[in-house]
Amino acid sequence: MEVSVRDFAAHRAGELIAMSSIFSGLSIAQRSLSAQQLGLEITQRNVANANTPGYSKLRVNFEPAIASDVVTAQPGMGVAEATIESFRNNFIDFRISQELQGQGEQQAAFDALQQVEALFNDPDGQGIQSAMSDFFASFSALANTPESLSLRQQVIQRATALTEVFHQLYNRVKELQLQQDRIVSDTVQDINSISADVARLNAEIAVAHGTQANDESALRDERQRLLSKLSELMDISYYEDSRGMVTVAAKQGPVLVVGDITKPLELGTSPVTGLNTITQGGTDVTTFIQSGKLGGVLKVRDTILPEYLNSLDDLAAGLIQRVNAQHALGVDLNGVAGGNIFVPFVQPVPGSNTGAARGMAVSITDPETIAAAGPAAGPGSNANANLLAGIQNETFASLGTTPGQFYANLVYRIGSDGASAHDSLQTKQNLVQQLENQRDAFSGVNLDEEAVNIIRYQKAYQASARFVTVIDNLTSDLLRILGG
Amino acid sequence: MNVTTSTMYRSFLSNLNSLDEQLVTVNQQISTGKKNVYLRDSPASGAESVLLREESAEIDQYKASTDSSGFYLQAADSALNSIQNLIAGIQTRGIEATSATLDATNRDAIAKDIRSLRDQMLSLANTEVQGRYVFAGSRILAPPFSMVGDAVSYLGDTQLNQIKVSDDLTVQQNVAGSTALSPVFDAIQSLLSEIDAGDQAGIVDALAQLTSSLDPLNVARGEVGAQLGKVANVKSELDTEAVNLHAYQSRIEDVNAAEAAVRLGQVQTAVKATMSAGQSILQQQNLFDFLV
Repeated sequence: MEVSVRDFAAHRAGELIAMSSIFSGLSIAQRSLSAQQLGLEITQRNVANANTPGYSKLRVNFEPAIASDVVTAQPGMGVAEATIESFRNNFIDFRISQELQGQGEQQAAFDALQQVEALFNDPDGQGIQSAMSDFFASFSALANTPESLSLRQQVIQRATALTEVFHQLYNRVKELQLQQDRIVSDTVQDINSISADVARLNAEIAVAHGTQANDESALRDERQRLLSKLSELMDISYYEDSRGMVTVAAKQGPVLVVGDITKPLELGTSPVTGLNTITQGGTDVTTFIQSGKLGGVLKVRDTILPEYLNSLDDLAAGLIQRVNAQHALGVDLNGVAGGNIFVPFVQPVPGSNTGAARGMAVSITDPETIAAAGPAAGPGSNANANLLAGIQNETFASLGTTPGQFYANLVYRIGSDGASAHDSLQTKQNLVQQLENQRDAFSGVNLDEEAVNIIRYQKAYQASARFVTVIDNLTSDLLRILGG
Repeated sequence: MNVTTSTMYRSFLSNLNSLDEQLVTVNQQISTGKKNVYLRDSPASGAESVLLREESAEIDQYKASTDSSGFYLQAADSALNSIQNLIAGIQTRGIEATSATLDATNRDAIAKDIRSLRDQMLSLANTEVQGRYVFAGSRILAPPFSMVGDAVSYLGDTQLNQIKVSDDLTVQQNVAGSTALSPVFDAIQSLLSEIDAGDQAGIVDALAQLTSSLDPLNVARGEVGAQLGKVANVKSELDTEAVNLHAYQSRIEDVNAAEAAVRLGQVQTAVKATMSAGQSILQQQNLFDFLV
């Protein structure tokens, strides 16, 4: 595996000494002692951070000191330089951050869709399907004894129940949309606060980078952790400049961090939907955010939930129109042509059924005015009641299918949207986990390895210390010989 | 691959999480009895359930409609049956009136009997069941036959109600009195006027008219009988259909209890095994434990 940037070149254990003498042995020992000490210190730091997420393990690299006169090929001068190396793999870090965006997006979508699913999953027979069945069945029941006032009253009750179910379902989905909208504003605040932290760390890293300070690796670990967190929230890309600062930008546009400066995202209000828009410097950048939690929430809020709401509106509008039209073709108990069963729906703009489900209401109040009879027939005629009941199995031109099938299709779509969000989420989670394992295999701390290192440094330290004792004895001997 | 401590913890936790999720699913399957706890578990069967419930509700309504149609058809059938019996009595008395030995008093007595039988007929023709006059077509709120002198007129109409009793079968709920009964009343009126006039040839003619007026009545009665037969057949078909539908619905929606119980055992075992494996990870010794 490719070894990454060498962050720190740092520790000089000693100065080169040109001449070999008995004292130069002491210098070598001294350099060795402090080098082993540094090794122990770094090992201790690794052990302490064995469970710190995002920590990149450190290693001390020893390089032999070279004798000053290369030509004469004198023996080496012992350990000269000990550099600290951070085991960071920028490539894996970047890939993790990219996959986290997909994970954040799918998590957000799944969280929302799970709630939608619960609304439409009605094993107990609640919901639009049973309300529609009940409504049409009330016409079938009326067809048996069309003059019955109690069965006529039942038609009105079932029609009212149907409108209530539409209201309830529509409002619940709408509430979910508003909930997503609140998540949008919360997430934007989180993004801004993380961006500010990244900018601050950028500044600190630039300083540490310039002065070769010892804590640069820790700062970088912290910044990488924040970049990962930011990636979960939004689809960002980043690159590092020569001073060690990262520039962070949304993949599609807005820049969030340049050097030590943050460019915060702001919130506006859409004049059309009344929902939050995301702006930067007065420009609407909402559609540029495609992934991450924010992208996922926006997709749910602006694409998926509106589709469901539109389907409910289309179904409601289709029912209102078709039932009223058929009802007008019959006559009531008094021989008068049928009026509206539902309050007629007027499209706000041609082709749009927005508001049909939410505003669905029953218009008819007097059970006698239900037009169960065929034209010019007496109160016992059920001709129109039969036709009204038969609407249930008609293919609506506006829906391209029967109302029951249309609702079943909606249920299918909601289920499969939930299933695909769930599956994608699991795939992304597995992918991120594999990448994190890969990252750990390279950057993570293995306690056994550290234990071995401790022994190694300890033994080397003991040996160097022993060497000092030997030289001490030698010099004592020498001084005694010289008549001390 | 260099296996680090955090890698071990991570995979342990992830394994445990996924098992927990399975445990929750199986538990919910058992407690709800439903195969698919969430819509996303099988969107197709979710959609199919919607249509099956619609179908099931329709069958329930068909069953109610067969009961109701049967009720009114029975009423019509028994009224027509009684009317046929009364007509037989009128015919018998009419034939007696053709005898050359009868005097005016005898004929008056016969005419009186026939009028009495005719009045019973009229009452049956105005049969009312639960507020509806069954032979009135769609004008069910008022008696369809009214009599002035011996003339019986029909005030109903000929609208016939069809009742849907299965996806592709309807039952005719009523017969129009004008078709079934008006010719008979007309023939009886002729018969009475001929008897009153003592015209024997006329009486014979009127009796012939009465006989031929029975044809539409017989046809109507046969029609009612046929509809009743249809109702009986459809009813048993609907019962079979409902049973099949519920069986199919259950196959799609309901969990197999035995399978779910076995699955629960499997997942629990896996959780235990993972736990004890996890214990060895959590308590795993490393080299530090051996350094003194």
